[in-house]
Amino acid sequence: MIVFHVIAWVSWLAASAMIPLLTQHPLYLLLTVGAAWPVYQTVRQVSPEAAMWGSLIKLAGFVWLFTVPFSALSVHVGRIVLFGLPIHWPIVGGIVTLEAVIQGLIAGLKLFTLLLIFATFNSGVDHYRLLRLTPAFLYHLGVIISIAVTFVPQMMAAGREIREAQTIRGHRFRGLRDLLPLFVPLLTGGLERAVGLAESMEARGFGGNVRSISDSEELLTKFSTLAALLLALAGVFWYSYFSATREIGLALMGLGTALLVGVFWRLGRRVERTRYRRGVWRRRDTALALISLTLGGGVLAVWLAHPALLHYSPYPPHSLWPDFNVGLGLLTLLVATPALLAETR
Amino acid sequence: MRKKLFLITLIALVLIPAMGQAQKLNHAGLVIQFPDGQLETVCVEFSADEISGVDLLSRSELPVTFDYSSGLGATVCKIGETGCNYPGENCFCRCQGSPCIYWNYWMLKDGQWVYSPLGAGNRRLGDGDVDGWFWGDGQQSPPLLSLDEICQTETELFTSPLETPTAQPTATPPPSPTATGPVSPLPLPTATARPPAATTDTPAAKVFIPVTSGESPASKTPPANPPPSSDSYVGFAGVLAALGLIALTAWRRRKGA
Repeated sequence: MIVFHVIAWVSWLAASAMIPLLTQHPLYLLLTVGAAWPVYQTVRQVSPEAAMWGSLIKLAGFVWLFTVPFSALSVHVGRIVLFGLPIHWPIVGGIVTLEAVIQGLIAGLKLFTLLLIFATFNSGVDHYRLLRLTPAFLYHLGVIISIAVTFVPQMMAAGREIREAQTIRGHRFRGLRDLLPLFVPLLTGGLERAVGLAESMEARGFGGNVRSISDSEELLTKFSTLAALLLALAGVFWYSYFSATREIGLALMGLGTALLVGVFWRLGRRVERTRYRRGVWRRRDTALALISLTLGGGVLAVWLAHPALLHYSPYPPHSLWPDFNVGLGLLTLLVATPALLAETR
Repeated sequence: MRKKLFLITLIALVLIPAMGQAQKLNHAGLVIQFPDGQLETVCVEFSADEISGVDLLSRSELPVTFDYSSGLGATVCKIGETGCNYPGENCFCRCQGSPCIYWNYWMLKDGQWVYSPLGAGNRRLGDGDVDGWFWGDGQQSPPLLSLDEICQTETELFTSPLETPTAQPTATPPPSPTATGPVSPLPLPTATARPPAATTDTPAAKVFIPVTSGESPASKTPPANPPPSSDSYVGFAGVLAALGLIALTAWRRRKGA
């Protein structure tokens, strides 16, 4: 079930993920989790794929098992000392502070927030439509990714079927040795599927729908690609090493990028694509895209203009208690927009 | 029984090294080269076997801004008035291209400055070690100074890391160019050349850096910023209420569907 148009949904992902990527402020992260949760619940109601991503969220709950000890044992700074380990112990030796534990909790919260957002996105997105957004000249890559994306669910389904069949025959899985009757048919089935897929792709003319071009045109394309990449590289080099004339570096980078886009556009024209079903862009997609733009733009603007507003550090001389900006807090609530806009049934 | 034995062994492992180091006084030096030519040298006295580079810098009494956001230790953003005003700006605000200027971390090894392969949080300094900080692109090292020179130029030692010292680090004129070459040999500090014990009239207990418990070595860092006003949390409560309203609306929509 498609919740939103794939472009609107991607814009929500980009804007929402910006919060955990740009800040480690616990209050904004908590608000983002609180806002993303109703979205996940809404998407889960209409998407059959949500159950698979639900286990990822459960798994994300264990991130604190790693982040808290890692932070507590590797950063020995803070005012509130919980206990100490002998200082001659490599890396972990020294004081263990409450500040470092809090830092570990926040690092876990950041990861959890990010995983929740990605799980929600993946639950609601149509991966095939997402792949259709890939530029025409990268269609080979698109097909490969689409096969890779379906690999794990297909494997899991095949494994389940084999297990059921073996159980019916009276086989009981108790130890590692009992997994052999499961593993062998899974492997042979996977190979058979791969051969079948290759044959069906061949039968559908995969790789044969590219318009042929002359040798001189081919040479021109290759030369232009090389020139564009060299220009971009020279631009990066100039920008990095000649700080007095950075404009020249930027100009070279821009020129290289423009030439590369031109080459890609020309390559894309060689590929003939047909679409049987086009995504429908509804009013709610417009609303979601605009709100996501506001959210992402707002967070990015704050990060660029007032990064201190997004900053939080439990370590001295900063206060352990985080400051809070109401405007920014309200902005993070926009993450919940899909929960109010999505079509429910 | 096994559990008890394990516990006793663990406690012994923790306590024995701490007991052994309780009475011995060690010294480490710090050389900080500022871009205006000013040179700060600090001689720090400590009773633990080792302290970290961050501890040493924290005890220099100079205002230091650290960035701990990486989760892998401390990054030095600013020492004194030189550096980047993190978090208002990036900790490497002067290292966004070329030239890349930042606080380079050096350690004195065999009489020569060596660019530290470890961060200041992971480097362990023992008795006689010297650390250096240089605001530059990593090509230049601080002037060579032995621990004896550093501790002799000190007007007063930092006698206790847990008490506010009365003296500030002394500013010494930069050594002559011939003396600042990073490859010139330097006599290693010897035990006899160590600063006299008379400077340590503070009892050893006062200079003890807690290893297994007690106060943080970072206690010399500037006083903590005051916690935010309660208005902030009233605002947070308001936003939480709005979030609750949104969640309720979404839940009703789902149930009504």
